[in-house]
Amino acid sequence: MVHFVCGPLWFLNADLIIEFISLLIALLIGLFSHRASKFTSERKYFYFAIAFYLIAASFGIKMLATWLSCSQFKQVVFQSITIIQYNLNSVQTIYALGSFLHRFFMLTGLLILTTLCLKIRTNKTRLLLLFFIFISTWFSRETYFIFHLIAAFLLLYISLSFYANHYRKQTKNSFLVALAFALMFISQLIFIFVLLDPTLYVAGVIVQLLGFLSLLLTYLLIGKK
Amino acid sequence: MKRRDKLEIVNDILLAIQNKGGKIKPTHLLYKSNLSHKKMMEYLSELMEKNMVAEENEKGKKMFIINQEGFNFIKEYKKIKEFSDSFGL
Repeated sequence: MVHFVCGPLWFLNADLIIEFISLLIALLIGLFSHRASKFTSERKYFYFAIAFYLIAASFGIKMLATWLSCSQFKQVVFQSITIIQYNLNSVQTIYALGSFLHRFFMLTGLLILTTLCLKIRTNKTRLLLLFFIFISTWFSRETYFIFHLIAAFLLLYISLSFYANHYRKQTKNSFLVALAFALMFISQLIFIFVLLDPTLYVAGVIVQLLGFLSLLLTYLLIGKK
Repeated sequence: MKRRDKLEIVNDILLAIQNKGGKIKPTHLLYKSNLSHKKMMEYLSELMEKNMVAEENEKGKKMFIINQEGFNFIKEYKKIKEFSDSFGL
């Protein structure tokens, strides 16, 4: 079953811009970590970079799917009935594929971050977790709900780990990182309830953006040193 | 006490030179880098190969000087350390 969860129509353009900003921030963090992996030859930075590249790709795919679906939708309004049927099918296909890839990339990215935070180093465990992510995003009937529930759960683990890191380090940057992931966790909780009230989607997107902006601030503060 | 990794040792050597105004005597460097003489020379020859450090004679005395590559390393290492600490990596 494909759910079209875009929030209110008036928010569509703003949503695309916000997702593009989040994509750029994730890409910046990924590129920095990639640079660190080349500099230090440590694999943890490489995996960290991959996680953020996947998150960036996830936003990119979602933006593309939403934009393509909506451009098809406009045609549905203006064209004849025959074309409406054809377009509805293509909208569903685009959105279903885009939606799956978006969910899978995002959860895989978050899963890699979780394995880094929990210091899971065995590939067998990583593969097992990845398998469950795939099963839950592909075969679940309630994909939207399951996706946000798993994302919230993973982000809870990541946030707690970053909070513990802040407790040890007590720096401004460690605080901003912990805050960023706590905000992302809250945004996922909000997204779970979007089916009850679509305007909650706007709140979720804004809270998520605040989380990414906190990451951007961390990145800028590191760059200033 | 935590064992220093290779990059940390390299950073310590370069910082020791930088903090002495970019030029240091081998005996001072040995003291500051907290390494055995053999290990220090191994690191220094690698740093000279990578053009981070150069050796020069000043009034008949051997000195080690830090090059631009060395300054770049210190800058980059500091950023990566900050990144690593911020994310607990």
